[in-house]
Amino acid sequence: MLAYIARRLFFLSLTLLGLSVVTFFISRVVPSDPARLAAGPYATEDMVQKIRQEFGLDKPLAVQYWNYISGIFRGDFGRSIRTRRPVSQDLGRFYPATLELVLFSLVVFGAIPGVMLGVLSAYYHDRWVDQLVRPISIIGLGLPGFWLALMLQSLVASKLGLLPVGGRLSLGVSSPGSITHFFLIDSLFTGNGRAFLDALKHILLPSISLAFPAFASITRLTRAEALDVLNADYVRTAWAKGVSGLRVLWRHILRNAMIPTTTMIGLRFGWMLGGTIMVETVFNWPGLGLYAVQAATFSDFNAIMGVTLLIGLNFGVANLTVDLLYGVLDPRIRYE
Amino acid sequence: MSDLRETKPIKGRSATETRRVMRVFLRNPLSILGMSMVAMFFVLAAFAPMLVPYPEDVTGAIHMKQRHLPPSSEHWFGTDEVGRDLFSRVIYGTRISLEIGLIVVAVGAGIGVPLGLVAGFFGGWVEQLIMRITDIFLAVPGILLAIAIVAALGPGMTNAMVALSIVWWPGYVRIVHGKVKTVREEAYVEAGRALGLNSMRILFRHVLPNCMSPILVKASMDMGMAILSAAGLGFIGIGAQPPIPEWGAIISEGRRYFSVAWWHSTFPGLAIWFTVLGFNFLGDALRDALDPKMRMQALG
Repeated sequence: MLAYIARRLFFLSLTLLGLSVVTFFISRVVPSDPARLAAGPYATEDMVQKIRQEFGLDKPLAVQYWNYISGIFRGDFGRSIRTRRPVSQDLGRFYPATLELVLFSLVVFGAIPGVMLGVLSAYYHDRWVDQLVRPISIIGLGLPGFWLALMLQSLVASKLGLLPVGGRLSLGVSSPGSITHFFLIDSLFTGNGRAFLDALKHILLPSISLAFPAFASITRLTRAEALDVLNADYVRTAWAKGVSGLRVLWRHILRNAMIPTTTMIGLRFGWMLGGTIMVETVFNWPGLGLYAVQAATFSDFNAIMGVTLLIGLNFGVANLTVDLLYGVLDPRIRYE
Repeated sequence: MSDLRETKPIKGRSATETRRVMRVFLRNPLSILGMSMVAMFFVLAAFAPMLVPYPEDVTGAIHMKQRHLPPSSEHWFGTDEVGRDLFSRVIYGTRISLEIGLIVVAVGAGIGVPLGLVAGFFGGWVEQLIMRITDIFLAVPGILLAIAIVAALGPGMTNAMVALSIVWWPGYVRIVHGKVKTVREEAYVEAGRALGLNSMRILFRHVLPNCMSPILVKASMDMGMAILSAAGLGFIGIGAQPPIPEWGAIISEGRRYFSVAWWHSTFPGLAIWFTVLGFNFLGDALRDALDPKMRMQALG
């Protein structure tokens, strides 16, 4: 098992190294000139040259890459040409916001309701619950997340004024501490009820928008798997033994249907790291997605590469976690 | 021997099997719905210039007196901030979106399928090389890599298509590679080898036809996803640029005016939703008919 994890981590680091080469190649062998862009439209050639030297853009490509990659091993992702801060500092600031949004969204609005409704839908097959859940899960599949975000923001926040339009906290509410940098958790730890409620209000709409496609596919898959399990011999045996309905649902149906669903939840975590880019842009959520979009419009390549590598790392770790969880849920699986 | 070499390729499905697939496909109401929706999009796209009531509004016409008119019998979807008819722009947008979808999926499959075939069939260092490069591209969400590429190339519809095509091929490599690994052990491939057919011939005439099911299903699903991704790039301002009537770009334009003109962003969003849904239904139904075992992958 440990050898398996070590091997996977080794391959993950190789893949990330490859990813750094690809993004570096994309960012450096391009027609646009980041130094000129950073210097502004009225800059003289001297000023542009100075920026080029400052950011090492005048050195040969191989030297630039070597400097970049050796920097990463020291935790230095270079400097952002837009914010003028070290990228690692920016990532440290924006990463918790994204992670909090994605995890909250996936767990509260994706996985929990998805699994529950999927199992209920199968359990009450062709009854009204099922007939209500099925169309919701089908129409959710094609729903553009950024458009749903915009609609919710315009209707619920702007028009009805029920929830905040954007951001992570209201003006005047101070950050609830820096234990985990997750505002919901930190405000609970510090007993700051006002900050907790405010953070909760801010995270609701972005997380619903982000979770909807995940919710739809988790519901569909859980329903399909639970339907298969319902017809299995061991479930019939459990019924015949007189085991209570809830116990059959929990111990036999849910547990077995969860094996493929776990993979789906893990996959969805990765996809949501992509989907969050659009949702953060709509809700002005100060996370990696918004940072990446702002960096992209500014040709701020150190920032883009930093975000790409950090998200790649999350993606890889999520996949590994799912594979390991698989073994916990299904003891027949052995790692070699 | 030479006669044997000229034998017809072994097709993936016999006539009975094809009839079974058709029967399963046509019995599923979702396949009829999906097929009808997709057919409608293609008709709208093909005849868009003839169908739109205000062709001049598709490009850059300005009628300031008609700005932000609500939906009416004259302007079914209302008008935008410079008085252009949104129905005309959304209908014409079908053409742009389908074009983007077709190009991205064709280029993605065009690169990914041959690479997957070669990797799965030949194995060895070729397989290792192709699959490790594929892993790199699959290591981050495609949309993030696409944003990075567009940032490098500069904003615009063509660059967005190039970027999406670059991030789209690895999915095909993975799916074809997996399928070839099972197909190459089949008796007819062995027979081809025994007959002395060359590898390329076995690969493209015998192995490829047997890998078509997952490719078709993925291509159908991907049409929707590619359109959605291109709209996303348009929405954040680095895809198609105004006044091109691309759905994501129209939603982005209408965003500022939602309180006075809700219709501006609403209708193009619905158009994206229905299009993606149509291709999803079609892909779903194709999968159920062609390869029921793929359910798990496609539900993602």
